[in-house]
Amino acid sequence: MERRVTGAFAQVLAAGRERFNAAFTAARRTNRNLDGDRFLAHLAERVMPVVNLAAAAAPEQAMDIGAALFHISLDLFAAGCFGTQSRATLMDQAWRRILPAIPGLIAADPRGIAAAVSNAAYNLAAEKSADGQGWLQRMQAIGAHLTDAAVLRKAGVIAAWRCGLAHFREGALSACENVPLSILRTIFNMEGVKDDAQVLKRLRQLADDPWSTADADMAPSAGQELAIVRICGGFRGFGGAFIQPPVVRLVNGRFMAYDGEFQWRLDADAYGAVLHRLNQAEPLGGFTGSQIFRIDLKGKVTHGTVQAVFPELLGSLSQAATETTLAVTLPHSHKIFLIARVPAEKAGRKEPA
Amino acid sequence: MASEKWRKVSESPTRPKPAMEEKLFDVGDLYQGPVAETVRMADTGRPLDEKLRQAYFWITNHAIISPFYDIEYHKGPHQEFILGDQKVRALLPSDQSYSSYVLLPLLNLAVRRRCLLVGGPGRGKTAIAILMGILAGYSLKDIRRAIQHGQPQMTIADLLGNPLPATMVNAQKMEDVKIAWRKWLGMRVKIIDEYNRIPTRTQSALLTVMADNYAELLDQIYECPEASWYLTANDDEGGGTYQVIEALRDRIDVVVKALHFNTRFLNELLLRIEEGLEPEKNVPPEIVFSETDIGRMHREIRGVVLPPELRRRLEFFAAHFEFCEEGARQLEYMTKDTVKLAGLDLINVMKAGTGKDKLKELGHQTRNGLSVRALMTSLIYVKAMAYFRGERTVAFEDIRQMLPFVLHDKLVQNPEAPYFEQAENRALRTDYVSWIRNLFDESCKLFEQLNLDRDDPLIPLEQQFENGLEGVAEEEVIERLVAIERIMGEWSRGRKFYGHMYDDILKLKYLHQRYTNYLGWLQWKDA
Repeated sequence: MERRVTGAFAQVLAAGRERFNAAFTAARRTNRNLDGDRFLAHLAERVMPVVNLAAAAAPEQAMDIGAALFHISLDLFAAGCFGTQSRATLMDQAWRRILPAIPGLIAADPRGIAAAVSNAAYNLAAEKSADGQGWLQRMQAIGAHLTDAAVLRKAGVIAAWRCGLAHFREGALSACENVPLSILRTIFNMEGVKDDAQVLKRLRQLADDPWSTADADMAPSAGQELAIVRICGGFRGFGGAFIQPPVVRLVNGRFMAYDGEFQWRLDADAYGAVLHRLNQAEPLGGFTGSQIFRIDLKGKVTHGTVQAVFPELLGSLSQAATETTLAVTLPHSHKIFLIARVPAEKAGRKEPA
Repeated sequence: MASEKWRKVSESPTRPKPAMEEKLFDVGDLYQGPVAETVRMADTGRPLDEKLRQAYFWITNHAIISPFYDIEYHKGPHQEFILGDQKVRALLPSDQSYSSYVLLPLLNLAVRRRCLLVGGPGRGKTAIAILMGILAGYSLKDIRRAIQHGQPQMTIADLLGNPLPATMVNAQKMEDVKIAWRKWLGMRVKIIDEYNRIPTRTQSALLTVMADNYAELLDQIYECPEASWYLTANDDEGGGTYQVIEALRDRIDVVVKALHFNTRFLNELLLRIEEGLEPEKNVPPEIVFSETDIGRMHREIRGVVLPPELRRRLEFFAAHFEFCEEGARQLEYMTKDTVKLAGLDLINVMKAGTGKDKLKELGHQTRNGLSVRALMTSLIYVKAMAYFRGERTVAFEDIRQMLPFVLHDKLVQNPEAPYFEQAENRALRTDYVSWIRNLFDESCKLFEQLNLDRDDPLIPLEQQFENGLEGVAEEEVIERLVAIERIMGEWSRGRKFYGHMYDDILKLKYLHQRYTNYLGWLQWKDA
């Protein structure tokens, strides 16, 4: 059923009719498939609610809000970001769920906030291993607590890290210092933890050990075991990253992989694992890293005094280790296996590739 | 009101290169994506070559329909096709290539020189000049008002200004006369439309402004700021209503042809009419250059490095043209200038020369040599080209692509040269850009045949000399003198005297003389 644009947004469109029409015409010059009817529906369904809510918060800004959101949504619409692909779902949901939840921030900086949220949704959707829905849910939930654009941005990064973008770990940890605990509780599912000191303690644990989570207190190290904590990579033909079984090295303290074609940077922790292809096409330099965390050809992993045998890792092709994580590759697999010490009750858990 | 799309500037980097270093992730990366958070404004911290390229791509994508790539760059192998009976080569460039019609005016803006736009009426010559004015920060209204339209009745007062009547009446002496100078004189972009329709006397006044950057009227002087000049002419040969005075033509640094309209792009015109879009009214603010930007860009361009091996090729190329063996008996006067000053017909004098292969003698194709001004202009545009491509060192192709536009009106062709009689070279009589590029290619071929990139006998001598004479012992001086004489002796044995050798021989003579004087001083001192 056709929806009509009403309220403040209708007035904005009427006032700038010629200008908005010209913008659409110009956009159609570079994208002949731009459908006017579909764009009107998009305006009514996604843009109007945001504009009307924000305009209610700052009626004198209605024209600026409407124009900014019209143009930014036209850019996204023309780029196919609201299309039918699964990636577009997150963008669609961001406009339907997050933006209406932050009308005050939209009113203060319509273009900046809409662009930041849209770009973040786009980036999360681009990362297959990320939990985009989890991010949406968290951002929607914290919307009511957000009164400052800087906090929104920091909270967005922390939530993105929590939902699988492991490469944001360092930035997110540092952003935690400037975000209210009430927001951090929502992001890290700690609503039940009433004591602020306990919340802070868990956040410190996150910083100290990449394989800890904020869900619970870390078990004492005596109760920890070695386990394959994450498997990532995979054959490109099946949607993975690598064209050949990769080798891993430690370069400047970071895991790097090489598959005979490109170098990849691996960021991984308890919340996710992300591979980023680098431009370099030459084999890796670097070294295997920590000598206290090793695997032998029989699949026996040693970390200090703790040992465990992993039969599936027999005859490893390469290995590299930090103090907390051992990365292993096999000659007959396109995957990278990450081993770490985790609480005994979590040992044996494997994250999907 | 302009549409946002129309104002869209190409995303950086416009000329992507492989990252040299590992990219560090930043929390801000989450918010980098398909849409910009702000409408970008001019940012003085941004590399200006990137801004220059963004301006270029905005013009070619939105403003001037110039779907030509006559400045060709290749990265590795490229496709080439031969078309028609004339065996026309159509190259498909494998690297980012450019339209000279847009690029040269833009480089001219950056280096603040003088650009002549030639071509038939309605080709957009004035339009691109206006765009350059807007890119320099002027309003459309100001830049349109500042255009000097050449016409047969144009007086010096029309061009420069008028004395204020009241001061004329009351003046006791010339200094008392106040002049109402024309506003365009104070602008950093100067546009002279149809300059070949300006009467000769007014052209002389224009020459003073162009050449010396000041205007003079009734003993009053107006100092003009450094400016980028754009002159337009409908007639390629400078015919127009009045013959353009030689000195004025000589002040033009680059010549750009307004190419024809490709009819395959008629739909673009149709859309513009239908949508009522006027590019000059929609220039995005982020590609507008402030006076400081242009000054900084100019400095950065001058800082681009020209490697010695490429400079040597340019020297070798320039050496071909001034030499005229038949023009004098004394070595130093064997130039085309000598013949011209004597009032003789240069072409007939050159024809009289015997023994040399006139097809191979590149100097035979021209009626003049290269002036210091032409060489300086070549150097600055070559650097500007490298800068535009985001490089800080000039590449061979930068020289090859820029020379034809800089030397277009500076190297005067000798159309009667036997070289142009050959079927494959006939078109070079009219296509000056290809002719000059071909001259450079032929020069480089010869340079390589002579193995000068590896074995140039003058280079060690020059390096020795550049180290200074102080402390050089008498024996060493004599050794160097012998080395010079040995080279001269070798060259004099049965070799033809070609243009490219002329400057080398004069340089050897110079070095010999400097060492001879030094030796004389040493011997006097020790006596």
